[in-house]
Order: sequence, then structure tokens, then C-alpha cells
Amino acid sequence: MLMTLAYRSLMARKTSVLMTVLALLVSISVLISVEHIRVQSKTSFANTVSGTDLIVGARTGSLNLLLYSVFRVGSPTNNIAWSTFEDISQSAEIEWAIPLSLGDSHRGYRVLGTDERYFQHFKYGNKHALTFREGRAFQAGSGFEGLGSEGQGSEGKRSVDQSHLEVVLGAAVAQQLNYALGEQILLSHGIASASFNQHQGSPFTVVGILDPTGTPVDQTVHVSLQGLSAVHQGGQFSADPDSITAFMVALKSRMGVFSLQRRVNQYRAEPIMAILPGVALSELWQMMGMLEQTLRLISGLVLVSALLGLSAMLLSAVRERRHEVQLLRMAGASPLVVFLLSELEVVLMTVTATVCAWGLVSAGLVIGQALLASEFGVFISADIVTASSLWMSGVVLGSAVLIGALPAAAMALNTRRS
Amino acid sequence: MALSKTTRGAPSASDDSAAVSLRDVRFAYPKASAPLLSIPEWHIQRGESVFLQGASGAGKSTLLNIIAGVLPVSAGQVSVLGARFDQLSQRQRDRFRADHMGYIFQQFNLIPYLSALDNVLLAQAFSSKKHPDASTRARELLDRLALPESCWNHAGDQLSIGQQQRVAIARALFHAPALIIADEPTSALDGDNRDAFLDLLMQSCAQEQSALLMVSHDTSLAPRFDRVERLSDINQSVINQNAINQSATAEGPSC
Repeated sequence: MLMTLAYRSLMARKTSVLMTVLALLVSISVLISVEHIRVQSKTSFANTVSGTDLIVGARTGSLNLLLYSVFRVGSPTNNIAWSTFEDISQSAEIEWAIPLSLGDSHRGYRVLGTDERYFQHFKYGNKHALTFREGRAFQAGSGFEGLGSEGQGSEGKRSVDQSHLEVVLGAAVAQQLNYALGEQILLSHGIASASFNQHQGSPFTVVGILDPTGTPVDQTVHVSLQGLSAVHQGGQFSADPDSITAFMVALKSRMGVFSLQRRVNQYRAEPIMAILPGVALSELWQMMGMLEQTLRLISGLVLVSALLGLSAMLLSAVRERRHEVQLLRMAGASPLVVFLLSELEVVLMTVTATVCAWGLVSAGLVIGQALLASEFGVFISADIVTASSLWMSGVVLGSAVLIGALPAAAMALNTRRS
Repeated sequence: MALSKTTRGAPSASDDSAAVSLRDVRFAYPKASAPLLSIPEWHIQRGESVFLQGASGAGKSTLLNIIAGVLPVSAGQVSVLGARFDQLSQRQRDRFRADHMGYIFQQFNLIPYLSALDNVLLAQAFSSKKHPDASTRARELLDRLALPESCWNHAGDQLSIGQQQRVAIARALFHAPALIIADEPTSALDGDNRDAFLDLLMQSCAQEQSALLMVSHDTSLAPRFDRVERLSDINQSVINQNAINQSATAEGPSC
């Protein structure tokens, strides 16, 4: 009965109720999405790379190095010489090293030049290795060691062998651009999505598509280092690239991380630096912490203002509902019942707003997911039914009931005097 | 005189007592210096119809609210249909009122967003008495009170004042209450409607053997009642009239 009364009474005041629900809807949406994106981006960042002890690149800010090497965000500042990579990666304490070469793109997706070690050693999330949904890695035989044994390495250059122009696509790239195995694609110089400077005449053949990882790997086009240098040198192939952008290193024993880092930072041949991904990530959190807190504060304040609006709407209705309440009292409703009726209206409005907000945020994330992934390398799940968002909704409902107690009490007590 | 219906749930009305019995009742609003009401003794018998008149602010509505159990008295005995209101909690009085009393206001008798039918059914929403076939009972009453069937599903605020007052009678009669309280029920009606309304009300009360306590300014209605009372005759309070007016306007909108 009380439910029917609450519902009918709200429907009778459609306009003001609708405005109040909209205000709540907006504020709850902001609150949920800020919280969701905050938690998800942290998880996403933390999951992007695992098992890598050091990242080595040209001397720059450690965050910058982390962002462009791992998250494919921003531009590499400078390259490092291939000889430097070979020198360091042959150190005794190193278990593996993966060369990374960046700077080209394919229809807005970053191109990563690397070699077969990437598919062997790179780990993400909870030490997951990369796996293929279809096809295979670009030819392992096209590595430098293999080339040397072909006997043509001594010449240094030869015309492009088709097997070097193979490409492995991240899951999202294949899906978004609708590519299948065997398709031929062209790379563009630079990272703009509409580049005029295409590497004509050197089409790459899709030989593999990776499983989705929920990391920037999904957004990456992988080619061999040889293939990459070949297109840059007008179809001429050289066994060793002149330079690479950065490389990832794993040590046999993590005990040696700091001494290797020191050695890299003091490397004499050229200015390079090594960062620990975990340390750089926590620097990133620190930088974002302030922003995070500000966002949370703002979304909290937006909610408070919406709740105050709700309370004001109900308070202003207390007078005009005087007769209604008097009737209910005469029909035997106790002041508590009148109080509960008003609170029930608050709950109905808040729950409606919350449910709509969940729908809105889910829909927004489904649409915005791809953009966030390609622009910021952040992977946000559209599934917002998480403990934190449920908890958040509970807090919203609780505060609404708390703030609604004032007009509800005013309504219940008003009747006692009549 | 005997009630045909038995009631479930405490407190119940006993059949052999007076409809209303007040003894040494005193009532003061909070912050008021002197009591507004001081009534040594006053009774309404079962089935009796009583016309109560009094000046504005003299405390008529306050007295009705005390008899209805909405306001607790400061001192004295209030016995309504055998229930001692001065000894019951607010909640018990609310429940008792829902079960055993009907109430008709001056106007605004209907919840504007409920249909005429639902407004009648409001009588049992907070009552411990559940009519076995509530919807049929409500339809019967509306039919008896000559409310056109086409209006039954109209929202309260779409009916004319006369129609609204008839729906109010239907609600007041729903549980065949032993006591009906009416607070200036005719003051919003014009002459013809007023007479028709009073005919219906008196006739319905006679049919259900309900006692009727009605407050009105309109003394032309008085001859139709069993008994006419002036509040100033039963109220011994010597409170200054100006103070009463101030207190009344400050405390109660319908005084």
C-alpha cells in the first residue's frame, strides 16, 4: 500500500520528480564512472607488463620511457644504437632482452618492430605469455643469426625477401580493421592516423593474429626489425638495424637489477637509462594521485548538490502536501508511516536514478572503450558491476535516505500540529 | 445501538460504553501559557448526532483532534467507544481511529493522485480491519452516495467539491464506524449541495447506527441534530480570547 502511495504520489509530481531524478542520474553517473575508470586504469596499467625487470632507452624522463615503450603513448625522444643493445644484452646476468623499435603506424595503430624473442618472452597480467588466435609469429628464421648463416649478411644489403615483410596483428587491430590472415597492408611513416607518407611498394602480409590481452599489445601491429628497416631504406634489406627505440630486459636473478641499472645509466658509448617498470608505475600513480583525489572530491560534491536538490524539492512539497498528510493521519497512518512514505519516495527516486546511471555508464564505456584503448592505452572493462561500484551505489542510497530524513521528519511532524 | 461487527486486534471497542466520554480534560499546545481546553465532563451517546458550534480559534478542531486521537491530552480521561485514549500510545490510537472512526474534513478530503475508488479504499489501508471484499464494499458505498460510476476512476482532483465530499462520506462509512467526526464539512458547498450532503450524511449515519459529531458555523443546520452544543459552554478554560487566536493561528492551520 505504502509502495503504491509513494509511486502514485511521485507520478502526480512528474516534472519536479523527473528533474530531481535527472540531477541524481548525472551525479551518480559521474561518481560511478570516475571510480570505475580510476580502479580499472590502475589494474590495466599494472597488468600491462610483467616479468620485465628493466626497460632501457635513450635518456629521458622515466615516465616518458615507460609510456612510449610499454603503453605506446607519446613519442620516443631518441633512438639507441643497435651495438649498445647487443653489448648490454650479452651481459652474463641477463636472461633475455627484447628489442623494441617504434615510430611507424598503420591506420592509426602503432607499429612495433621487434624479433621472435618478443613472442617468446614478453609477459603481461599475471605472467601470461602471448598466444596466437590464428597463424604464427613472423618468421623466426629471419632473425639476425639465421640471416648470417644464409651467407648474404656479408654484403650487408640485398633486395627484400618477402618472408621479412610479415606482420602479426594485435586482437583489436584485426577486429577493428577486419583483417584476416593473408591480407596485405601498408605501413605509414609517423604515428598520425592519416599519414600521407606511406611506405608504398612494400606491403606486409598478415601471418598471425594474437589473442586479446586487454593491454596495448591488442592495439599494436608487430613486424620484424628487418622488415621495418627494409621499408625505411627503400626496399633495401640490412641484416642489423642501425638503431632501436628501447629494449626490455629480464635478469636471471633479480638481485642484480640495481647494479645493472647503475651500469646502464653510466654507459659511456651513449646516454641511455634503465628504469624499473614497477617504480615508474608508482611514480605515475603519485602523479595521478592528486588528480584522482580531485576527481573524487568533485564527483562527491556533485552528488551532495544533487542530494541537497532532492531534499529542497521534498521540503518545498511539505506545505503543499499538508492536506494529504492530514488525510493519511486520519485514515490511521502513524507519523512513522508518513515518515516512511516520504523516505520511500526518496528511495524510489534514488534507485531509479542509480539503475539509469548504471545503464548510462555501461553504454558510455562500451562506446568509449575503443577510444580510451587507442588514445591512452588504458583498457576499461564495460562491466561496471564490481564490488566498488556496488558499494558506491549503496553509499549513495544511504546518503539519500539520510538527507531525505529531514523533509520526511518535517512532513511527519507537520501533521501533529494540525 | 449494538455494533454488528466484531473487531480483531487490540484495542477493541466495547459496545456498552458511550461513544465519547471526556472527564477533567485539559489540553495546552506546547509553549502556550494557559490550556486552550479545560472540559470537566462531556459525553456523546451511541448513535447520537451532536452539532458543535463555537467561535473561530475557540478550539473546536483541537477538540475534534483529541476525540479522533490525533492529539494527546495534557491531563484527564478521554474515552472513545470504550477505549481510554489517555492510556493508549499514539500508534494504538492511530490504529483504533482507522478501525472504528470515520472523519470528514472541510475540504481537501481526497488524495489528489488517487482515484475516487482508491480514496474510499484508503479507509482500510492502515486499518487492522480488512474487508473481505473491499472493492465491492467501496463500489456499493459510492453507488449509494450517488456518485456517477464514470467518476469512480477519476483522480480526486478531477471531481467537483460536492462529489469529493460524497467520496469522503463513503470513506468515513467504509468500516461502518460507531463514530463519525465531521469538521465543517459543508462550508465549501453551496446551498443545494449542502442540503443534499447533510441528507446523505444523516441518512448514512442512521443506517450504520453511527454517532455523529459535526462542527459547523452554519447554525441553520443545527435543528436537524439530536443535540446542539456550544464549545464555550463545555469549555471552562478562562484563557484570553486574543491569546487563543494567536495560539490557534500559530499552531493549527484548520482552527
